[in-house]
Amino acid sequence: MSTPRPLPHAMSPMPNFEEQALLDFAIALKGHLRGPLRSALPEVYEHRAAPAWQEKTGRRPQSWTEVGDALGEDKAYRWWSALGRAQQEFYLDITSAVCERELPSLIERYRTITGGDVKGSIKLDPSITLPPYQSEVDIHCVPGSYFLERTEDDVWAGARSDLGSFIFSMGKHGALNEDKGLAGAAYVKANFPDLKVKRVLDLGCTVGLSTLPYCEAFPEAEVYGLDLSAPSLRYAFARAEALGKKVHWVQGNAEQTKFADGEFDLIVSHILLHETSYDALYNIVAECHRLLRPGGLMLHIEVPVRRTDAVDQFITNWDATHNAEPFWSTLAEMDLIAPAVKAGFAKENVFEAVAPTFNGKQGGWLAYGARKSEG
Amino acid sequence: MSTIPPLPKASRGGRPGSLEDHDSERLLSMIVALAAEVSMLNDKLDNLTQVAAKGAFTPADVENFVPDAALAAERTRKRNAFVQRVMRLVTADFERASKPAGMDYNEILDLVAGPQGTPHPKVDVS
Repeated sequence: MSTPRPLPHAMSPMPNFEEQALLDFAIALKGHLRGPLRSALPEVYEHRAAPAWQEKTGRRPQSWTEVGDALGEDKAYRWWSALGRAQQEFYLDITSAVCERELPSLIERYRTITGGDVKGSIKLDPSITLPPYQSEVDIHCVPGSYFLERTEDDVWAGARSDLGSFIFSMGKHGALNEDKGLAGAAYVKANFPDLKVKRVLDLGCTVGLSTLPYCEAFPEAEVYGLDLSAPSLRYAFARAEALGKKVHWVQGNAEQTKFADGEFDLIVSHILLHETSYDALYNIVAECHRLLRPGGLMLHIEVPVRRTDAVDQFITNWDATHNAEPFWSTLAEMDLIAPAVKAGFAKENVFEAVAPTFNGKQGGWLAYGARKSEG
Repeated sequence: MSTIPPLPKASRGGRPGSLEDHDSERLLSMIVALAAEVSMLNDKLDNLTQVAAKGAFTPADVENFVPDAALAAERTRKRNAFVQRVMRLVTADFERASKPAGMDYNEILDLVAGPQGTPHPKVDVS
């Protein structure tokens, strides 16, 4: 099998031969780290890390944090972790450089595509302020994060996110990296077949990777994408138009949007929650309840952060400590029923389940949501 | 576009480490970047070999050569093998740690020495 490539579209940043070869190496290195070495970590724990910890403390580790204390002392884990961070920073550097080299062309393409006949729209809000969980940390260790803007009509951060997401997932989430959106839309159709969907809102949509599948799943619906990042939304707009999809892109904060009460039938998000905070999650769920019409549905598709085994939980939580996604490990343990009930959803209408993947994502996706009561 | 400031290289939030010291991590980052360059050069050399086999060629031919599916798969295989060579000691440590520990080399020295013992300095075994 050869190294996967994304499906190119008119806004794609295109790595040249050398950049592509460097990214192929990054995928090969990650394949080794996340493949055989990741699979061996529970054995390393069992045969070396746990016995060493037991010798020191007189008992076996119990919680995932104690597992972490034990594995954190083991050099196999330490090298795996150090290499994981080095790999992450390396592919970020290359994807950043690709989009930097392509920036004049990307901006020109953005202007040409969005300046012509368009199906959708974009509404930016220059007065927006970033919440601290985004302003204080560069999520995924991306220098500049989603928000770097250095010139007019800057789309750098959006383009980097599109290319970077594909390399991060090693091409395993589909050629358009759309698995989360496909999974969410399919989950809605399978579990809520009676839901009439005329207006959809995708919160924290970034460049719309997961937004576009809703256009296909609900062809009659008006689809909206909301995000804090202007460069991401510009890129999302041009990318969607290039792919022939009509979406209205709006800059805003998912905790407090400017939409009216009851405007939406379906509100979704995809791997948004783990990039926010405890308080923000409560606010976002409350905002969903406000924006849904009676009988409407909220669905958050998340990384499968909840693990039943303490060793697996600690290894899964690596991203919280070493990939700058600080809320990840809290979300893994959080009671998600409470925020929904506090927001006004009836407890019996709140659900947490596994949404099946379309591309072999291990463990599927975590589906968390609630249906608003009728009347 | 020359007025655009350069891209930042540092991410906010600092850099949590994993190894015993941050200097080793800096060296590791450099090794990863250098290994990637070697891997890229391998691919480029293969491009060169392929276009040279067809006769006269230009530098652009080398850059623009697109391998067919079989050659692309062969390159992926070679790249994975290269990663495994670079990662050999890390992988070996995982292999050792994934099974019940055998005798430490110091214990082996004692084991074979017989009742009189072999005088030896304690070796540091990883």
